[in-house]
Amino acid sequence: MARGVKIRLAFDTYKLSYRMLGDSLLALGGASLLLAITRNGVRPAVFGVAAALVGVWLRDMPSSVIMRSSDEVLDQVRRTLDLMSVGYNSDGDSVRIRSTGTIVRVQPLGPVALLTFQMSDPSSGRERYLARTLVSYQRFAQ
Amino acid sequence: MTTTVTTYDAGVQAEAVINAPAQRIFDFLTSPEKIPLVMPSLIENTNLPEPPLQEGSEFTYRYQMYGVILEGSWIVTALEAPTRYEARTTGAGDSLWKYSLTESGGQTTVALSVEYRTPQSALQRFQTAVVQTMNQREADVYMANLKMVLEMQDA
Repeated sequence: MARGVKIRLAFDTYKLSYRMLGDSLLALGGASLLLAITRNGVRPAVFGVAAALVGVWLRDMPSSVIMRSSDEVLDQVRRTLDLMSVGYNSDGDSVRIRSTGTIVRVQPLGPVALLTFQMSDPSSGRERYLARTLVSYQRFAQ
Repeated sequence: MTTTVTTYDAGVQAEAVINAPAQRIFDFLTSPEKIPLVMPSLIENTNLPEPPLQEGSEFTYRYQMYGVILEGSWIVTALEAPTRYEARTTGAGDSLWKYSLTESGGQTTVALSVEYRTPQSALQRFQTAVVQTMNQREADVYMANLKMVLEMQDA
């Protein structure tokens, strides 16, 4: 191995995205439907359809649960925007990004926080990039 | 005296036309703490030298690929503000990075070229994966993100 090479596994434990939760429910729903087909059961079929529907609904929600306090999450959102030199206006538990109109809201969920993006144009590459970056930079929150 | 010459046998190129002055883009690219904002698989740069970067400046990068984190060194080899920035990486993979910036009519064209050595064995392939994964798609996303963040900045 080359000198100075360090390799280790990467585990993210600071966040739980609704997309990931939705994908998990979709997989669970699919497995339940398969079980219903092979066992000819009604209950697994009902559960499978319900889980898949909730999964589809959740995976499109631009929200993530961050395993930190809401104050830390909001501070980190502001620090990340400062690092990007992107202008914003703060208003209580939310931040409005001036160039895109995106509203970033941080709500306490007990000891953790819900980070939600209200996009002016959900198909905008800029807004999706902002959401991805502001969530991924939560790993640096203290 | 023995001289070691590193030869590179593969590479990727990517380009972006950005509505921003070359100097602002150059300042962003030469701020190692900002690059993880735009390079998707780069987790962070650490052991940063005092700014501004100079020829010979060195820092550590941490890069994630397929659930594995790799570390190596980034060494600046050429700097000519605001048009040229070159560096090489060692450690997790040997590579040569060249940025050229050309400003015209209020826009700047940023051209990125990355050359790297392809691994010879399966084990080496794993060790040098950090440069392998800087494939064309990664380079394209990097340049697209760079354009987005610079065009979102307050002028």
